Amino acid sequence: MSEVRIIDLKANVLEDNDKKAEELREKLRENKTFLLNLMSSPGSGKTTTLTQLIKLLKDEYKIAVMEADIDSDVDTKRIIEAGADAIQLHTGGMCHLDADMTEQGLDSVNFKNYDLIILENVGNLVCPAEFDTGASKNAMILSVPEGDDKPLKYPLMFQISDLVIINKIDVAPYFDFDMERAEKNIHKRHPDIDIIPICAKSGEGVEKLAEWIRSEVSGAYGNSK
Amino acid sequence: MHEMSYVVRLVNLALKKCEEEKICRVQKLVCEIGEMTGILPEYMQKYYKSGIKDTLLNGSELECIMIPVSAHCEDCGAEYLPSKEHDYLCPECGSGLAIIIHGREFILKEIIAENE
Repeated sequence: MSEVRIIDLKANVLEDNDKKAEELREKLRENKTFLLNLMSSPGSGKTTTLTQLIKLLKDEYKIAVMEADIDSDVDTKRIIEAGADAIQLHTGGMCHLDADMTEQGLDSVNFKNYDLIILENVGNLVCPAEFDTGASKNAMILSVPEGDDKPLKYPLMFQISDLVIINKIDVAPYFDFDMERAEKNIHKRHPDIDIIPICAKSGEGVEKLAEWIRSEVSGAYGNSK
Repeated sequence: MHEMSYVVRLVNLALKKCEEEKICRVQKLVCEIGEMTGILPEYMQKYYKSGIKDTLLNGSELECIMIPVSAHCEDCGAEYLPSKEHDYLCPECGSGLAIIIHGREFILKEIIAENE
């Protein structure tokens, strides 16, 4: 007769990913490469925001963008025109990136050549929040048409982010979007998070975003590589 | 939404543990899953069947114990279950500053094995 044995494990299923993410952060730190994980819904203006940001920062940093969002050459072309290198990650339809995929991307772009790498995560406010990519910092874009109640619906995304960029502020009058309410909702989820309202199309507020990045990079690594 | 990648990780972890514990037949895996992970147990069950094909876990069952979200208020120290009724804030003092105690975990709690 077969006997039943219970093996008590209490093993964290994401432990491998968390460990890999920590190793990756250490590797980036050693090389003084700053990796920003940028998350948002599709259509929130990630690429436009990045092109504006790259224009402001390209003389200070050697920049690369790793795009996981969609398999589109259009986005890549716009990034290159703005003055950064761009690579397309093939995520095979995955709904998020994990530390392994991020590392593969970093190795394929030879990350040691860059001061600043921005990871355009898959467009979605749920899964990317669950998996640590190993990034130095996490930022997310909330665009005005999505509504000021998003922090209530996707609490984890707002909790794990260090910065919320509120994009498309120029169209706020046409939507039921209240900036004060949005900030209140965001701070409910994450009281000491930074919030920067911008209009990526006109460039309004992007300088503040560039300043945030400068201060994070120099806070992490000092001023020179 | 992302159940498949959890299934793959779970199966790999369980197989590693089976090797360490020299297990050849598994009756059941027991998991604890926090509700904040957004995982639906129905989909875990669905993907589990394909995830264990051609492995020694084939034929085993999966039990998912869902763990509700609980938080520790950093302002007043209360422990509470965040609810929509209180806007997910501390029902005692209204603060949003909290540490999640449970609800984000995905744990392989037990392997129930058969020794022949």
